[in-house]
Amino acid sequence: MSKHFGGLQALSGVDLEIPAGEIVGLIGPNGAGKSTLLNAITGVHPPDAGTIRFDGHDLAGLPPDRITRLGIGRTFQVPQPLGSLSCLDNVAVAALFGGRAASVEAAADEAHAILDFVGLAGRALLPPQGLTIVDLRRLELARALATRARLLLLDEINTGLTASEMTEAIRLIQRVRDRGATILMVEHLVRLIMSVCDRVVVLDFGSKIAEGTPDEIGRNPDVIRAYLGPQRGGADARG
Amino acid sequence: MDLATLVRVLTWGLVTGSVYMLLATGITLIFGVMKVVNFAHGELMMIGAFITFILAHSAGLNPYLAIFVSMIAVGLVGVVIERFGFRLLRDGEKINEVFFSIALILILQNALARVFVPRFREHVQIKTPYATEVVDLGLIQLRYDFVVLLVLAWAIITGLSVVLHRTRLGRDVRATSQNRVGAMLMGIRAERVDMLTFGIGAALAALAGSLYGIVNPFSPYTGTLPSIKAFAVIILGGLGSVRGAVVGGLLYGVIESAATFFLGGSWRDATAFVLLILVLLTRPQGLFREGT
Amino acid sequence: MGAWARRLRRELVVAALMLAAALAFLAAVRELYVLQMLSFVFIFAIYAQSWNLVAHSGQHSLGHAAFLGLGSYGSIVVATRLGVPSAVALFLGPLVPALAGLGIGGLCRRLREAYFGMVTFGCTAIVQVLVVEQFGWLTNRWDGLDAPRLAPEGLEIERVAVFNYVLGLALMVATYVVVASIMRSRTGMAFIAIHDNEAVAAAAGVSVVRYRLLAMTVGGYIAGLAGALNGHTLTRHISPGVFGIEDSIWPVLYSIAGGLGTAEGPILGTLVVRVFWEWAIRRVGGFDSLILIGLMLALVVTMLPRGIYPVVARAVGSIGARRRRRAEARP
Repeated sequence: MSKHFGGLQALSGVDLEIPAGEIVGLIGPNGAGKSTLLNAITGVHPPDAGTIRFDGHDLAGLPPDRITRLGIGRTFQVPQPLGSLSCLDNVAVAALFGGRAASVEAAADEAHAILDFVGLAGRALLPPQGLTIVDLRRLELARALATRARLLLLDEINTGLTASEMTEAIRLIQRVRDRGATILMVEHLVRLIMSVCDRVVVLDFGSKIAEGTPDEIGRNPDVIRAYLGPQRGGADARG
Repeated sequence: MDLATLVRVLTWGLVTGSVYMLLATGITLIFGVMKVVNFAHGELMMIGAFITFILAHSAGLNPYLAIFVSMIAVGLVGVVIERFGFRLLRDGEKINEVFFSIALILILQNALARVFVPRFREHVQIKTPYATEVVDLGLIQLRYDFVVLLVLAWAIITGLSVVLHRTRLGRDVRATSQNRVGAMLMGIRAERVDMLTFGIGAALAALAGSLYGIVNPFSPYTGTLPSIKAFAVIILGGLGSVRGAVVGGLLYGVIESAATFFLGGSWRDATAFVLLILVLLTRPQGLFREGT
Repeated sequence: MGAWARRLRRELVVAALMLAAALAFLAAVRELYVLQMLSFVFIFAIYAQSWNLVAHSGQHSLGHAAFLGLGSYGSIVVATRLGVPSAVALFLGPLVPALAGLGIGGLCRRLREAYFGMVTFGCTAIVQVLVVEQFGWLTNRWDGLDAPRLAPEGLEIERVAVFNYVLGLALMVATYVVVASIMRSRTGMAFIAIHDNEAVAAAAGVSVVRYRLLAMTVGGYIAGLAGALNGHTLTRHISPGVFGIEDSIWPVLYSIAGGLGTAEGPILGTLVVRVFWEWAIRRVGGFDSLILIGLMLALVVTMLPRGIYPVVARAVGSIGARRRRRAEARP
């Protein structure tokens, strides 16, 4: 697919296939088009050219809420909780509308279970203000899970975590996959991607420059150049 | 339709268009910098008209000079409103600024009314010493007042453009409008820019009101409809875009004049609404993204 | 039914308390003008509830008077031109603003706050022009229409005042329960989600457009009901003046002063502001009292953006807490 914003070509000719049950990593330097790709899939900024098919459905022209109900959930790069609701209700909304829970009470029950799963049970009745960044990320994940998504798009859900937090996060993601979800993870942290993903796709300047197993990607000269090139800082590649 | 009628429709369109252009420019400037829609703009407009009227009517000042006094006075009122009103709401929820703006309508409209209504009852109009004079261009004749009005409006807008693009103040305004945080990092005092911009917007409203009041009867309640049309112009031209406001305002004035001529007076006010509805039907998110 | 009552336990108690208090007041006070003032309070509380509900979905309508006026016009036209009995017209008339709400909501369904405000602000003027010009043959243009009485024929003035009072009270309490019920339901959760963050709401599966339209339609109906009630019982007349700025500002003030986002807030706010205004009008006259109202809105927005309700709720809560502590302390 392709997508441009005014004069800026954000994505051009990106071709991507995600088999069920895999964890696919999406990496690339800043501005490579990773978030644009997620927004395109979820219907926020539909592509100008190309098609998106999910589970036999064509996603073209569908509004974001419909795409969610078809089974694609996402987290936002900057956590955006619904400020007027408690953490429980944040998740319950997703269970109710995305997950098609039978009633408000049933949605609340599901929300409790999911908060438990991500480790936020203690914060259920509290408002999201004052949550740590780690917990906010978990809330994002909980909300996406509550929509009964079969494909989860995680947008840099691990940025800003300490090493131990990251290990826990990896375990959580694997448990999510074991529950039957397919995951597309956008990440900055190359090390994380290498350890958890089955396959990695690399974007640069809106195009796909490489795809393969983590090992193959790690040895790919184009990828190394993209991260170590003169315009980039070396920090990302060190990971 | 003969030439004389065409010219008349066009001139009247440009005259009213100038009023809408000035209103829309003020509102859009204020929004660009403060990200607030000033719903009380129509009331500032009427206060400006009234001050000009009083100076001309009671003090015998030439209305075209009185306008400048009015602009300064209302500009100062605007600065005060920003400093002691909107500034306090800056850190809270955005919606409170809207509510405050609505409250201003009640305050300003009735403050003007309590002075106006006992003395002047229904409507007044600003009389100029040139009411009967015309500019003779051979084939056509234009009312002298219309010509002065158009020239004055054009001059002020050009002056504004010069200020915006050639002075440091203008640069500060444009920078704050595009990226407030970035502007502050550059050392621009955003709070001062807020005050000045609101003052300029208010002054433009006073000018618009005065020009309006020369060619139309007005009362404390007359400001609402023109301001609503200014909103329509802004939605069509893009919130935050001065160019859109200027072009849109003039264009709309001509369209409204033409519509009134061809469809009759009862359709005058409906023009803006029909345009707006048509636009919203075809592009529900508005013609432009916010902040162009 | 049982689950619904359980979920709304608190609101049903409050509703019962309101009914009891208002009826007790009625029994105690027979001054006509006081009863009339409270009848206005009941009607405008319904109007405020309507605005509050729509605001609950993130749509802060600045032209709500369009719905109020269209409800009056709808009901009166149906009663006078079609000969429908007033009691039925009362509930049919609001269908007009409900439809208008659907239309306006539809036009604005994707607009963000600033644009939404400007368009709704303009809506009252649009409706006024339409009512006076294009539909003038139906609405009698600037002269307006007289409204047939709702109260049964042959009742003396005092009885009519009591009738209006009780009817207004009943509809206000009913509206309160309905609105509270909506707020606690799926729909209410959708509204809040949209209010807080549309992108997140959509990502969670909420159909933003559908619920925004729903809010405007239901809000339009309820506001129309207030308008119809006002026309048939208190003012007995409707004219295009209803589409002025003031009537669009009142429900905003009532809701904010009382407490946005709660079902009780608008009622509390309407009571406090209205009583204050009645007093102000007698003391300082029309223009000054409106200036005071404007200042009041400005002050509430600056100082008490959450309205009076949290203060009241905290006071009630602390009384309850003190009582509980005392009960626990007893041997």
